[in-house]
Amino acid sequence: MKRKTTVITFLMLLLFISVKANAATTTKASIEERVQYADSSISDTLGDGEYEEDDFEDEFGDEETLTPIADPLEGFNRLTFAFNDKLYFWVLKPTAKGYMKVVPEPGRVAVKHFFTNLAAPIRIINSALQLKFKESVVEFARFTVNTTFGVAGFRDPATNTWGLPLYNEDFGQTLGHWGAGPGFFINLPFYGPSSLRDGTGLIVDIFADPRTYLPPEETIEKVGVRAYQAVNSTSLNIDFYDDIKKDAIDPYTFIRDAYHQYRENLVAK
Amino acid sequence: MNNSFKTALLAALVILILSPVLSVAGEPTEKIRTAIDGVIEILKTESLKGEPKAKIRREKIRSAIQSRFSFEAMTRRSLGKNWKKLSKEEKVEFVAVFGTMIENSYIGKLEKYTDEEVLYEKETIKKTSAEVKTQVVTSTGTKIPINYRLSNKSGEWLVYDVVVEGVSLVSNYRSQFAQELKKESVAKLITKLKSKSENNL
Repeated sequence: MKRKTTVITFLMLLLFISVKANAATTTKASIEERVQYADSSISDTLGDGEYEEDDFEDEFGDEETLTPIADPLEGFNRLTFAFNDKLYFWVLKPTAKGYMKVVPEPGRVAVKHFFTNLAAPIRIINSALQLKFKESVVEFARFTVNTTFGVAGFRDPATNTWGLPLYNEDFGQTLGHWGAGPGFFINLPFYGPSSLRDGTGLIVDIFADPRTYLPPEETIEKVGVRAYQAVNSTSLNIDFYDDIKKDAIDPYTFIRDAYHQYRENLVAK
Repeated sequence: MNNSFKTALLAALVILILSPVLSVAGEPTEKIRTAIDGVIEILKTESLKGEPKAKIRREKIRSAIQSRFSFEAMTRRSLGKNWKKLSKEEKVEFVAVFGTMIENSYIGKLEKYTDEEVLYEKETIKKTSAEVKTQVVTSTGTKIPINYRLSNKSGEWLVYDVVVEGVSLVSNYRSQFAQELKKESVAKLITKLKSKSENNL
């Protein structure tokens, strides 16, 4: 019996190695092909000034003029980043994977809708604070429709039947709307990327968040609710963080810059 | 008589001037649509599904992407000022390696998404550049805005940047490349990218 297991394990390992090796040679071959291909095409355009830098001026790329976010706390941020990274791979992802096996996708989507709907007051108030009254009214209508017809928010008829889009607004964006810059980058433990402005916004939004006033009353239970929400949203996009790590040369810089671009784009909307 | 003849002539002239503009207006969107439809077609083909067919399927997706993306423009822009500092050989290798890395990562993501719907929202053209705004609607109803930026300097509309949720691929790599090149040589960065792309599929 024991021998059989060993043999099977060995065979699987062999299979795994051969597949890996195969994949590696394919990419290598294709890189070589590409070098040859690129060689012939680049040499035609090189040096004739066709793509000089000022040539890009009329092209799209407004966010390239976006100043990179300041990062005076980089040392601290990289520490919390490493902490969150471990937290993700050791706790959050395994939990989410187990949870995925127990709760099928439609159930998890319903939970996502529930939490999204619960946070509607944040969007209603912050739309109004930015004088975006139409959006504020739409968000109020969404909240009403989804809380009633959407069975306490577990369904989203506001989007699916009524065609009312969601407007993502929070106090960080409100501050940005009235001219506040992001200040500098802060990578919060547990929460992840944020900035001086958005972190302040997070604290202010606690007051507009129904989760603050609704049961459970104990702080530890409130934390539990947030943790559950994190597990649920991770389960709906299980490869998201892995993909970022795969694509990035330095995941920390990648996420910092992506966060900055993402937030400034939301503020501009 | 003379006056109305003049008006008619003017109208004809205006139509003549405008007509090429009108016919060109939807071109970038159509090019993107054709490329995306082509990839979806490959992903939906029964005979290409499953792990054993991965190699053929990926090669097909690869060629569908390559015909619409300019990895050279993407690399130039991602490297920014550093591009000029590279030797010709380094440029050639960088484009190939970075291109393969982007491709592999893009293919990996495409293979995961199957029953998504792509909406073509808006097209803006500025001289030789265009931006095509699309929304990908996932099976759970989430809408992800993806914008393609194209340039037709070569006479063909080619993608030089992809912007997902306001995050531009090019600017994201630009800051990472700049950071790496501050402390490391180009050769080392190329080696890093190579190992990245090998692990990406």
